[in-house]
Amino acid sequence: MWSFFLHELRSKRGALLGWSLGMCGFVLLYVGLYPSFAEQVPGFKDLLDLPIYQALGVSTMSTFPGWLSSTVLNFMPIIVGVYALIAGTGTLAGEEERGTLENIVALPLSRWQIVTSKFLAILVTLTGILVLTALVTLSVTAWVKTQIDVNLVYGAIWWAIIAALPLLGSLAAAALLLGAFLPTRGAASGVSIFMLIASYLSNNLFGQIENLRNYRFLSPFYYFNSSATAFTEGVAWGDVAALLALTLVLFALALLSFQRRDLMTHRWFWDRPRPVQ
Amino acid sequence: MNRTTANEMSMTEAIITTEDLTVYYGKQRGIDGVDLQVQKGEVFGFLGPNGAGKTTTQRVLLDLIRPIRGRAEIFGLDCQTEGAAIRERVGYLPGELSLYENMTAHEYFDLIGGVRGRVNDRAYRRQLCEQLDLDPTRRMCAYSRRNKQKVGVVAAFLSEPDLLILDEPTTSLDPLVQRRVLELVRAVRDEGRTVFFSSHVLSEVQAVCDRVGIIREGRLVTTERIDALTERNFRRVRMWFDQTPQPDAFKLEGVKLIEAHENALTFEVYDRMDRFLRAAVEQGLQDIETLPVTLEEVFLAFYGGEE
Repeated sequence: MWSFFLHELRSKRGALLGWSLGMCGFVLLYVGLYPSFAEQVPGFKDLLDLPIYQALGVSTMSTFPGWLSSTVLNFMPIIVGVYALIAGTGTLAGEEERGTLENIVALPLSRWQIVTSKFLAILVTLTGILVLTALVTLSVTAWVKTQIDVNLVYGAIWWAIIAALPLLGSLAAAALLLGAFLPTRGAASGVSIFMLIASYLSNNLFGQIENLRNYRFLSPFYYFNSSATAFTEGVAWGDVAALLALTLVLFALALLSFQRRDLMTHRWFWDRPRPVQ
Repeated sequence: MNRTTANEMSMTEAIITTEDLTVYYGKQRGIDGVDLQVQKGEVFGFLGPNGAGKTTTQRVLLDLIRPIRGRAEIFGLDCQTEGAAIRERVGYLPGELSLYENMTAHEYFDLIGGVRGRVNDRAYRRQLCEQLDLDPTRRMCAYSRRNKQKVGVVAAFLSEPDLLILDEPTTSLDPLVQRRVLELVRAVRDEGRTVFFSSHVLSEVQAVCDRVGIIREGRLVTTERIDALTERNFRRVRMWFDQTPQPDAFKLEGVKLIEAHENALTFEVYDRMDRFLRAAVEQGLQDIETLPVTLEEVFLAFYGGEE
């Protein structure tokens, strides 16, 4: 199992590099430009009252922590979340569609070992992307501190970013489950991307609508603090536990689904052979 | 080595056993009630046209798909509940081989070897690559279909498994490499190991297999020793004569006239050729051509009425 896990990890080197570079570019662009925008930020206040910005979770930019949360903490989970979904659906449905999964399942590995190795490799890759994103954010923040007066603790930035891991893990587990259950990677990707956008927007929009505010807990994004308070309140361990529980449940369901399913593409579950009674 | 007797001592232990094995994809039939036994140390040919159920049977054996009825065992272990233990001793070449395009063949063999715990067996790997004329240092995406098939063959043989399940192993290979693959299969049998050899190419099955199972429309029609099947085989010949021959001259046992066109006649010959050829010479034989007989035609000839 160890050598298969290492193989999975190696196969994600390109994704780790590419997505990390993308996130680093994003951070450099948004955070690095803050000193230039700092003087114009008060003019954005009316703009931020627009519903579109509310839906995107952009609430305050008048302070550096507000700017950092509205850009990095707010958009990073959805950007890296796209990778989590791509990796999650590619793990079973994608490999099955390419035909390479047949070679792996024919090896002396249990199915739970295959799924677990693949999921752990995704989690390690996500951790790598977050760590590099956090390191670049810290570096840029250090430079920003030389330009303007910023009162922000480095450790708080680090943990606020790393706290996205349980959220991203749950997204990857959901994609893994869809990939194990639905007949094609296209179907799994379509459904999971829709769920990502819907849960992201609903978390922000429901907060603006009185009747729906109580339903925000249905979105996994609800359990990740993307506001400036993340830098002062620290990690919300209750939310982390909720996301870890969600990840475990989704992963267990994906495991169960893959354990029972047959290797073939383009067949919905009612067209698949049923196990012996 | 005489292939029908060399392994008699070891051919008492069933390596593969299936009973009433049945797979349906929704309402579509995969296989239906397949009862099969493959003995230790034999090359068992699994014959059938595309869609007959060969691949489905193999996929059940490897626990890639599950049957709706019946059971399958390899080495006395249940294919569904003890699949990982079985696969430790099985090498598999799928019919439609897909490989990781970004890996080199060496990296792929490392993966296979690592999972099987035989990562250091480089000498045998090198020997296999040389035998099949494969350069394992290139990335899969740079390989032709032919070279990818060679990678699949090496991967299947690499861990020297007790059982090899090969689905159309010579597909897309050139004749020289095809012959080397068949030599590898014979070598495996000579070591007392077992091969489940699925193919629709009758000639290569005849060349290496001890017994064959013929599957048609999901049902196992028969299992026979290869020599028995060969005896039941027939040849189709077309002959040209100096003048229009007398068809009655060919009313011989085991000879069937299937087409007559002026001075050209086409026959199917199920018996010895000597009397038939003498009759042809007496009729003024000018030229003769042996026409290919497909496996499907063998099925039709021998099993057409056994629905």
